[in-house]
Amino acid sequence: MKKSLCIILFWSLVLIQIMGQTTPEMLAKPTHSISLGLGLSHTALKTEVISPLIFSGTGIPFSLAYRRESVKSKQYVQLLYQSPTLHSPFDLRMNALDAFLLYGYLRKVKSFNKMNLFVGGEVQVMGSFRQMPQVGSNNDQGIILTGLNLSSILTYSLNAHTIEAQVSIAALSYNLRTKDNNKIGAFEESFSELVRFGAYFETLPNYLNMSLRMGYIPPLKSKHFRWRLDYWGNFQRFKQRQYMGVLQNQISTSLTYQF
Amino acid sequence: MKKILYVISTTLFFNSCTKAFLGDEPENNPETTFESFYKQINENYSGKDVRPISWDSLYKVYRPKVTAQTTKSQLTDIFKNMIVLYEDLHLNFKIGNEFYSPSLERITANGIPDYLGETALEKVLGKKPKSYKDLFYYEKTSNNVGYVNIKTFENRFSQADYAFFDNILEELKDTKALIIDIRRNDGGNENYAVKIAGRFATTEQVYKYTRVKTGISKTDYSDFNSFTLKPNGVWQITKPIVLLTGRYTYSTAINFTMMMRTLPNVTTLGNNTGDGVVGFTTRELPNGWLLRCPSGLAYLPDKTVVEGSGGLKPKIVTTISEEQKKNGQDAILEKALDLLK
Repeated sequence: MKKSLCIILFWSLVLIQIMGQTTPEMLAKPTHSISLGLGLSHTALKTEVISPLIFSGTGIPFSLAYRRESVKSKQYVQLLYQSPTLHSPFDLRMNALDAFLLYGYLRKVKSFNKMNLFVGGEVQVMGSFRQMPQVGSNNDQGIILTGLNLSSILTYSLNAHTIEAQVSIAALSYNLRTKDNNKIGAFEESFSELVRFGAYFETLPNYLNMSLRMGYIPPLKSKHFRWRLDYWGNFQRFKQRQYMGVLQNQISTSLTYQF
Repeated sequence: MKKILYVISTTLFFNSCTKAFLGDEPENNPETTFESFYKQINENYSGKDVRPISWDSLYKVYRPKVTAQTTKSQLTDIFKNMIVLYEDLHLNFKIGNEFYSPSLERITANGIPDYLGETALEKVLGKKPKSYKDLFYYEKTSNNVGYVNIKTFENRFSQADYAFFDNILEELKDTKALIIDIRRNDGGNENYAVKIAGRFATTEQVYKYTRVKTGISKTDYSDFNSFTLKPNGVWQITKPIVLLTGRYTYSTAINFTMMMRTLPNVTTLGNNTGDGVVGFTTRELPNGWLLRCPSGLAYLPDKTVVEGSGGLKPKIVTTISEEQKKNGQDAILEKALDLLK
């Protein structure tokens, strides 16, 4: 726990330092873009309160993103949505619904050769709900998570082609979630009961939420339009009495309007 | 550059390895299935915390009987023998479409207990009761007492079907008293139960508390969560009511009993309800079998635990003797009508 607090404190200081810097380069005209994406995802989930087996399945994720990029900083707001159907090896079905809203702000900290390194933070809001229609509502589980992630992006540009790699890890999160043996139905009486029984702050090492994003951005095809290809991998692990972890991988392509 | 490529390729590698992140899955064999069955009940089953049966002792007796050669049928019998001792109607398991509830099998070995069916009702009521979709049976006796049999609270009937209860109350509005019969009601959706019971409530009343199991220890439970019965409908029924219960009255039907017990004009009559009120979570075992086990306890408004109590005892205990059963004589309903003379 002390180690986690030290890490958070260190990154907070780094962020404050970065945000305090202003150079003439930063005042260069930024670019704005809006992207609409569609892809293919694979989700694997293990929640030992329900099964020692892994539930997995594919889905079609949708994404909508706004990005503001300048020489010195990157900002984005991204919405991701998917509702995959997962199956255990014995075909027990789990309908999942995942929605992520991310706001990120990162500042350039280093340039070398054709690479730039950005460091910053992300605010993440996530809703994730799971139902098992074959067995009834007692197995319904859900999470509403609001967290602060530490994030860094490395970009590599060559002949107008750009590759981005982003790594994010949750620093602190305020979660409303059904714990072992609780279920969404237990809270039908009132929202205050949900807050009373299932709300708390979580951080490393009890709660782990990390993601890797890789993007390939080719040169502009026209004055405003381009496409991009992204890979996104996310792993979340909750430390409760019985293990719960979710691993998601997705590849998506987006049409981007730049202005 | 090499370092960066190394970091990226390593991260990609980890993302592609589901088991590296989520851990191994147990093998599908009788021994791992037994161990998982033991572990799930040991860590999550609330009923063992309020019943004097040692789960660890059962493990010691039955574990040596399970080997790699144990057949499906043998393992089924072992599981049944282990859980039947808890007499919990909500502790059971499913293999494919086959449902194994040893406690329920025990009480229904000779048919639904404390209930003789619609023919016996007809004999006492003097005429065949009207029915609505095998959900409600209702009639007015010659003595001007209304009778309503609620056969279930299950989701296979719609909200509109349950709303038909209002029509029945309109039809029985002029009766001097009501008998509500839930002796063969095996529960369902508590929301339907609370709406029906709300027709009888004139004020808001806490009808139960629940606590959720939060750890392995007998004392690891959440705080009390209260559930309230609220008046429902355009007018309330305040006439004398007799609620009939029996050993097949369980699950949400026990919740309904708890709701009705808060009302001053309600008398409970019949036999103890079944044992098993808090809903179960379905848990998959390594061979695909589904264990259904509750992980919470229900309490009466005075915070007396309901699970493991042998069912809720009615105010007036009446049973049907073997002789009466043979003659098709519904002695419980007869007693209720006597009471409302």
